[in-house]
Amino acid sequence: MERKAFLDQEPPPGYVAGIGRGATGFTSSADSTVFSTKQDYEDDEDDDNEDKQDFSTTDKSILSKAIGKNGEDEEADRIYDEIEKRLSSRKTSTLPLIGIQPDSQLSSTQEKFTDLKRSLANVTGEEWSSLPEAGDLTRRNKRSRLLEQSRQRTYAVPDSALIGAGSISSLAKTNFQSISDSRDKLLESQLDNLLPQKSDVSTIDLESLNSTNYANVKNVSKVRAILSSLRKTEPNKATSWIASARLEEEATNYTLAKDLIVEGCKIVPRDPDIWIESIRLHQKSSDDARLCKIIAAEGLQFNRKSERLWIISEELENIADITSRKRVIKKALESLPSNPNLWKRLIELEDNKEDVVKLLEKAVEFCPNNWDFWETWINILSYKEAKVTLNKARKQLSGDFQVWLAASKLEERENENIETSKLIKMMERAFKDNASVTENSLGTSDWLKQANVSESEGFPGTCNAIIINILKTEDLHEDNLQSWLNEAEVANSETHVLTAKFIYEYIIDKFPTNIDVWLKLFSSLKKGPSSKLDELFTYYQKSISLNSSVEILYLMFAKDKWILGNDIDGAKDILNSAAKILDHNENICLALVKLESKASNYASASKLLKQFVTSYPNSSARMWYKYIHLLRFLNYRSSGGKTDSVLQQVEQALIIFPDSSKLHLQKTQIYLNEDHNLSLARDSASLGTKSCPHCVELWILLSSIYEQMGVLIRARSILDNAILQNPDSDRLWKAKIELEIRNKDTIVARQLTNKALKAFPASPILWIQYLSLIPKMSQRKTAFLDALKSTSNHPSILMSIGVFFWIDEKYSKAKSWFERSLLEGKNNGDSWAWLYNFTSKYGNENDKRKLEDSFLESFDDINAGEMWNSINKDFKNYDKEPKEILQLVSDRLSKF
Amino acid sequence: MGSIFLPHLRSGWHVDQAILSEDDRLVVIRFGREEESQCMIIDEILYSISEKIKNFAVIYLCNIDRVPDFNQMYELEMGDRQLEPFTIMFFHRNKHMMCDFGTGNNNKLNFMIRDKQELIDIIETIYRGAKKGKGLVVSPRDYSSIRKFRS
Repeated sequence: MERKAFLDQEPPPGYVAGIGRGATGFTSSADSTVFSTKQDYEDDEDDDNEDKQDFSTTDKSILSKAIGKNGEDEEADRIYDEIEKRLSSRKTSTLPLIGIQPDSQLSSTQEKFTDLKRSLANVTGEEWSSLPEAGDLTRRNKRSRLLEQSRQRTYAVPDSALIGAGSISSLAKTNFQSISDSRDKLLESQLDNLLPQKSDVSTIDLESLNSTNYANVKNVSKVRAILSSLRKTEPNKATSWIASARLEEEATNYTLAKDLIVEGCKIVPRDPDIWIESIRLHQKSSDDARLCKIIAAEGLQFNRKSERLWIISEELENIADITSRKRVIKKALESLPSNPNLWKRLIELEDNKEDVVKLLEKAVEFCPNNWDFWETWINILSYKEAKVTLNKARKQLSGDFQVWLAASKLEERENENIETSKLIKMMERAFKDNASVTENSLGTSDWLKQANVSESEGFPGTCNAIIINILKTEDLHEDNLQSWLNEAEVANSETHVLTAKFIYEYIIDKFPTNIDVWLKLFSSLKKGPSSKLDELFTYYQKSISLNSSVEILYLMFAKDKWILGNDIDGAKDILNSAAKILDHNENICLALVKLESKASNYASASKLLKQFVTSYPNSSARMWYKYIHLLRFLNYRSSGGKTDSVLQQVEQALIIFPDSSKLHLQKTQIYLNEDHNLSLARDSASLGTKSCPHCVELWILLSSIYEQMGVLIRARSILDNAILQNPDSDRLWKAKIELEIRNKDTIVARQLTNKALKAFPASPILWIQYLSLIPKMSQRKTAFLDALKSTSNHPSILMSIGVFFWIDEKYSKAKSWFERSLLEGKNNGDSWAWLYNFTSKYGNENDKRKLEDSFLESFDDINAGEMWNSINKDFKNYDKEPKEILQLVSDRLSKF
Repeated sequence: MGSIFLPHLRSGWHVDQAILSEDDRLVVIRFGREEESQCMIIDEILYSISEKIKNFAVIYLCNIDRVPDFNQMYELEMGDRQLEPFTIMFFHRNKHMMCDFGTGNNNKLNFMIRDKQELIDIIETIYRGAKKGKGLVVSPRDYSSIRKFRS
């Protein structure tokens, strides 16, 4: 028999038996004393102890009475007592073993209960009633279930009951919010009344109460009570009376309001506010004007210095009755002689010019520091008198720049051809005066404002003078030039064209060779009224004479002359003279060619180009390219079909510029389109790709030539080769994808698209391919979002989304997307064409015309869009108008 | 003799360990005093059957004077009153197994059984009941006629 290991181990110290395995005991029979758990056991012991105690006490007493104590017993008692003491100091858990409880503990618990019993006498009836009920536990679950059911049950309410409830609620609709608000206000004001030293606060509160919360104060009676108490405590405050009157007015109790305000007038007669309030109240309650006048007169007796009261009493007079109004104001001026407002009113009322002059004289006498009077006076007076008056004013208002300003304006008004230098001098004085006054002196921005004001008042000379002076004082140099240019631009955008012009002029004076300033000046002049073309042209001439070697000035001049001035010959002259000064300048030559071709003088254009090319063959490939382009066009026009001469020119050009990809392209295209000679075109293209391996167009062209020849594998491999050489060109990828699509291999195309998108996640053209390869519209929609996000709303993506919507026959959406694409970028020709297509199909004539107009406006900026470029650059369309090109593009697009 | 060969449990902890240590077998513990004659007799019988039942039961002895921890819990001794000469209790996987002997106390076996096979049958019955997950089994024989031990 094996022996378990635990038998030889020692038990852990302090182990309580049975706990380790969660043992529970049992009760077996009724006659054996109940033992179950340790807790029960202790309780039982307590009961036993009590019995024993009782016994022992009685026993003791019996013993003490009957027998008496001998020494041995006493000693035993003493020992027992000691033991008890010791045990009582130990934990209670040990007590049961001894079986005796000390008396002290028992008595203390009893005391506790006696206290509680006594305090029961103090419990009030309320407390008794608020004692929580011992809940009814019988059938609790069932009852709660029944309750739940009854809650879920609903009953139909008859309509009559609903109607009754509705009417009641509408009648007695109480705004509890307002009630509580007003109660808060009431409490606040009551508290304030308790603090007499804080009377100001209370009035402020009252004012706010009066002014803002009338509508909210529903319980008028309460507020009324507060206000009456306020009137009693502070009868000398006008505000309390006004507030009470207003409250009554709000409660539409006009008679009471009037009574209150009249009483207030009697008690606080020196306060103009209360009189004004009284007049207002009487006016409002439709009393006749006489009564109001009487009140005003009464009030004025007490408040002769109140300007407002005077003005109100003037307003009380009949408006047509000017004499009596004048009389009132004159009376007012008697008591308030130096009040400018009253003077102003009086002068406004006066018709006769002489009287006005006299009045102004008086007004100036009494209010010498008010510039308005001076100004109006001077404006009325004749030139000589005005001069004298201005001198007076200058003496009176020493250091006021406005005197000088007025003087300069006066001079300008009187003699129109006054020299600017004189005005400038005057403004100098003004600046000096302004500088001498330390307070209120004007800064530069204020001066600019003054300049703007004088411009809008029609004094350009003064404006000029001010600006010249500003710039003089500001000491213009290179560093702060930019800030001044900004200043001018701001002025320009605020339609103060003259101010801007003057600023530019001054800057140009200082820096005549700064082209930026010139360009800005021109643009600001162009923005202004159109009648100033001559001025613009004179400025152009001036700028060109100052900067004879800057081509852009010539170009701009010629363009403006041509477009704005409609003067092609003039433009030609300009360009010719420029060509003389700037020898063999390409841009000017090209501009000339453009002019010629716009005037349909193709022969002379080609002559010009030929001359240029022959005389300066080494200048650039661009000239050659343009020349060949024109030649091709001419060839096409004459429909001779002879390409030899053109090809000769191309060869010549290629000898000089063997690396020019455009020339290679031209050559290939000539072979391809005019001669329809595929093999020659292929040779030329492959030659081109060898010399210009980074020209993507050549690669694509070469591959398409192979495709046309039917050698698909070669076309594909050429594209792969091109991608290898130009790894960052998304157009090559696109060409490859399109090749597959043409080849009807959609699966490969899709795979290629995914691959390409991984390489160029932000390429719009690849995204368009990707979108067009998605078969279902519903799947496309999510792809739209991705495309927009990764290309950051590229216009061509917006446009293609529009196209997809159109295909899906959602016309309004399509249109909005086209428009959005145009908003995003106006230079995309394809978007224009699509929108044009759309409007010509679904829109009315008006829309179409509008679109055409806006298209012509931005025609020069259009340089993007695949289809657009291919058509616009086509030599066959060399002589087409912009509108025709748009038509062509949209036709081509609609086919596809 | 039997009280010498059978394993003794020296403390409450050992008792608990003995009950917890068996996974498959029934744990039979005899509480009592070896010096008393009745107890000696039952020890002898227990020893004699211990080898026979070793496949499904294990027998331990516990002196209630040396290990008084369970006297209250299992009503082994009431103060100075000796309730029964010995108490045999059965545990299976820390579960106290009860057996209806017809005596009225199903918790333990506290009467003398002189037939060894009878005791083996009782232990086997309890073991089979325990294996079936029962907490109470009916003993193969009714012992209601046996004199109850009372002091």
